[in-house]
Amino acid sequence: MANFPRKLKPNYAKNSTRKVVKLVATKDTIEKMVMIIRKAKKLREESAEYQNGNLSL
Amino acid sequence: MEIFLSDKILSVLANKQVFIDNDYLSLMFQNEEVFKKSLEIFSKSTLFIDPYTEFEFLRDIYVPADRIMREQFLSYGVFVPALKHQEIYSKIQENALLLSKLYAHQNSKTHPSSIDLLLAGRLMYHKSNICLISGNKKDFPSCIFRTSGVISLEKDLLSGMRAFSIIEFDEAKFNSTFAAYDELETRGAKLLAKELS
Repeated sequence: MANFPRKLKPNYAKNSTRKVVKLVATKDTIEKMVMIIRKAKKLREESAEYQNGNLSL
Repeated sequence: MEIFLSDKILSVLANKQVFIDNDYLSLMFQNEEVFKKSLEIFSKSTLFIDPYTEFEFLRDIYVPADRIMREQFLSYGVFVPALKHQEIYSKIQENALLLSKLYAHQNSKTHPSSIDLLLAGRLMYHKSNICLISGNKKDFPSCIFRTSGVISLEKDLLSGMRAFSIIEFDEAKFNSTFAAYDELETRGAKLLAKELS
């Protein structure tokens, strides 16, 4: 009956105080990400229109 | 969209590693206002994406252009990919299995997905200076985790309020829950070993 039952123990990181690098988002990065958000929104709206039959391929 | 923050949430988030659950990440991707406001809220934190969250974010996307835009959205350096080497994963997986046993022992009615269990295992692994933002608080039960803040979003006049919790691993709560479980398991194992011997 060796190792019965297998006991689970909590595992913790040895060094849990990793340095936090603060969020760095340049104006350019934010603009690019916002552009993606807008394009994706437009794509979702068009996709919904196709599904509703209001647009044709 | 109106965004409401709980008291002192900005000081709670300062200098923390913040993991983003898929529900909040998807909202950031879908709503420009939430994205911009999030950059302000988390300006003193580091935003991390767990590989399993990334998997959830990218899966089941029908339109190829949508998937490409999602991949691009994650690639700009605002989100830091979490460590994913094998050594860490085996430990996180073991934590997740242990947590699932503790939830069951606590008669938790919720049954979190495997991905939420693995996220919980990661919060436990790093334990301090780390938190998760998730709209599924019930998947991170209060017998192990504490809520340090809430971000509430009122989408429009017709929709209700959606709350996202800032969730942290509470070692004292875990130790207490684990001790009760360990005692029960040890007693059960002795009885079973006697019957099978």
